[in-house]
Amino acid sequence: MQFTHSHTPRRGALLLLAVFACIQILVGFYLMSGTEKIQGISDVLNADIATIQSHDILTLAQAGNFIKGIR
Amino acid sequence: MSYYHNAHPGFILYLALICISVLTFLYIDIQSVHLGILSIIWGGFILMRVLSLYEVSEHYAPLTLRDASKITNQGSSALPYDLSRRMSSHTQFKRGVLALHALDIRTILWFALGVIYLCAHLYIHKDTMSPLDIAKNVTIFFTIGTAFWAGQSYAASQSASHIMMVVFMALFALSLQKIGILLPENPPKFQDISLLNILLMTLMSYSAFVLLMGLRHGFKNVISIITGLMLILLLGLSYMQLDNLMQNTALWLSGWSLFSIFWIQSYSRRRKRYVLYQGQ
Repeated sequence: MQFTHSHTPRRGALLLLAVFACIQILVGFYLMSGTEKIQGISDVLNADIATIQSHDILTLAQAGNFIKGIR
Repeated sequence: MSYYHNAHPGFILYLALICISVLTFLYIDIQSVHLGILSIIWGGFILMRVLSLYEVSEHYAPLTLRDASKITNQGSSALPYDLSRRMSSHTQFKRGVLALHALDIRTILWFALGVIYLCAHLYIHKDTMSPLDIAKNVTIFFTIGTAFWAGQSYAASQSASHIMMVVFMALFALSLQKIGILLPENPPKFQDISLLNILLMTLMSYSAFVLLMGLRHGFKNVISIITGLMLILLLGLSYMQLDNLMQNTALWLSGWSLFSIFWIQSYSRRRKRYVLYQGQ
């Protein structure tokens, strides 16, 4: 078994992988940062809008029943 | 002197990380925080593995380079030197020199193709993706890529590759069963011919090509090569059925990790040359 590779490509590959690992760590910290809170607020807002809309629909349905009752 | 007691430091940690990652993607409704934690652990692990391979590359590999050859054997006075060199070189091989195959140019080219695919994916979806989605995509790609590379660096060892084969096959089968693809009720959907699909198919074709190139060294590893080709075909077929779910990451993670064993076996020549007493 002989390794025909010289040192330089191996060092280059190791350096590249180290850079990838550093990017991965940085992205990991970014994912763990406060972005989840913003997502959470938007979820709450969406839920509120959905609640209001469902409330409107209920009100309309109740009004329909009321009108039917009058008839 | 080595900083590491083991020739393959972190092997158990690597197996544990793969198991934890695959099971997390399969069974937990994964949030950004979970992905972030996994990403940091994987990044730290890869840094440690790079450092251990750096030691092997700088310290042990040069000792195998200046191997006494047939030329020095011709002068009989070189025999004791030759013998001692071969004995020490055998020890160096046991310190994980074969793991340096994972730094081959073919692996780096695989990463280059993967990065091109990732950049194209991000560019095409740039209008519909939030920064958080971009970060998620980047971290998933790097997790799969680094798991694939670390798998190669460990699979050069015969005993480690056997353990990896059992564990990764179990995880891959579990992912297939959990996601429920390749079942008769889920026929393959023929996806549109887009730039992304072409790039991904290029990556898979390149992987298959590298395996086939292993046949140059003879038919010793032909079973491993055929199994690897079947696996890459299975990954391609499952890609046709995948919807955009986080669970599918588990399938890719276990699939590429398993594939790393066949990849490294296809071009690592394990044969050592014993020519000490030939000639004269």
